[in-house]
Amino acid sequence: MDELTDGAEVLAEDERPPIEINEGQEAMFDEVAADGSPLTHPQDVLIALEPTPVEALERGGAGGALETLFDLAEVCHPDQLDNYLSDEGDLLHLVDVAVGEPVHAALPGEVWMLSDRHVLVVVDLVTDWPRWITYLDDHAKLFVPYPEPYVTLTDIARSKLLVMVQPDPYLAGHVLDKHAAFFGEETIRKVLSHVWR
Amino acid sequence: MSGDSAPTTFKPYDVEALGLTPRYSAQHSLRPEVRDDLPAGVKRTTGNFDPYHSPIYFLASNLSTAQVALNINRYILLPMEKLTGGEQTTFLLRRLREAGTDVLLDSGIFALTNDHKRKHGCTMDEALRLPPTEIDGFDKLWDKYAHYVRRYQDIFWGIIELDQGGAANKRVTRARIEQELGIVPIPVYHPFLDGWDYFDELAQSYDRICFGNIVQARRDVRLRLIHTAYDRARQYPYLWIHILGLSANELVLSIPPQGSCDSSTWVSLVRYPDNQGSTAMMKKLGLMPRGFAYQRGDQTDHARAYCFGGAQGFFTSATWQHHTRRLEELGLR
Repeated sequence: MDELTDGAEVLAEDERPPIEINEGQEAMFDEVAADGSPLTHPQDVLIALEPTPVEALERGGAGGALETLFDLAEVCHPDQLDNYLSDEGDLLHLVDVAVGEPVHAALPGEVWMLSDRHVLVVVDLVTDWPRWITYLDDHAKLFVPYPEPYVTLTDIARSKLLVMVQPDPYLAGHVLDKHAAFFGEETIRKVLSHVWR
Repeated sequence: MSGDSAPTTFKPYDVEALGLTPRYSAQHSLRPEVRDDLPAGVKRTTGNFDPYHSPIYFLASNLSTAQVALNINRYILLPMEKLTGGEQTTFLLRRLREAGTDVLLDSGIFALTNDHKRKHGCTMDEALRLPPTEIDGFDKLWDKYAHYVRRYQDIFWGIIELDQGGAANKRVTRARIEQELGIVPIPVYHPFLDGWDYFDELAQSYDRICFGNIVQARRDVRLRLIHTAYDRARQYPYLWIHILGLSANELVLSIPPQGSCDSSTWVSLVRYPDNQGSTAMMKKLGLMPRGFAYQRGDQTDHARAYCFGGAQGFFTSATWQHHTRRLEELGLR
């Protein structure tokens, strides 16, 4: 167990409690992986989404401040790294400011991974909670309902794994657009498609 | 005809360099049954607004930044004091109309009382209480207001009244506007000046009202004010409330489903990028690193900074509308 300075804990992978899923939740998982292969159990979904957080996270921050900085090299283009961490960077030109129809189509029921660390779940916030609650399985993850499309560009996205729940396909598509414009198209991938009953 | 061609002072955004696409036009409208027909005696305020298209966050803007409404954000508030006249004003207002923008015209009283407050050393509330005859510059503002209302009336989503002087004076000035200018402006309610009976009087008489006294109120007071307005408005299901000077953050989740607000925060984030962040459910979650500040001297970068703020404002409206509609569908409001 890795104890952080404020007493919060980040569990090592083998220390995490098993994820318990009740019958109601299990019945919701009628999805297939993005490549069409069947997912027989909700645990498969979690495995498919596993972003190797323990290896990627490392204790950071001066003076022992609580900050679990991930390895920026994994999510930034090399030429962005220096600017991202500097005070006088030139990053604005990488920001997609369009608000028209999103380039990426995020359909209801889909789950996407961004930079192999953040999860975007395109389901209703209130009624589809069994679909997103299973992703909130450790302290390094942050629940982000109705994410504004630029949220993965913020400082908190550097220190936390975001579990984003966006029921609006238009806004969800823009989450993908904005992330891809900044970090690269290859950093987003659909990991779950929904099969409507 | 004047206004048909771009004046030399107008510097349009480089759409290609900024990667702008046609503006999003779909709407998350409230279900029609949420809004009943207006009861007898309730006046419909002037403007080309859709009562089912709600809620809305308006970007308070000046002329130079208002063009974000052409490509990015369709909701814009223009204060009278920012309309400087001349070719650029005419050109931009026409373009905004052609682009199907929702333009809310503010009367300029807020700026007038602020000027008076600074000049005479009184408080904002004291300045707001003064009758129109005793505040500096009212007659000049009336003439300007009349000019824009007469000439561009068909452009506006709504026109806010000249809300100077407390309830008694506001009634008189509003009647004058209706009689001389032929429009029904949106009346303004000031909770600290008018008392709650006046809220009911306005709510029983108009389909839309503005709600003031928010800008200078502390955050906890703001929450109480707008939540009281929400409770009060439950008696008037047709009523649209526009909260003046309030950013669309988590506080607005307390206001009625039919409503709007405005602020210039999106501009200040361009000027003070240290505070520019992003939200979850309209609450600020994290900050943009310093590297997102625009580069001085780079015109395209500067324009992109405004487009960035405008886009965030638009996404905020879309979030607010989607969430509100879902709560309506689930019977949770």
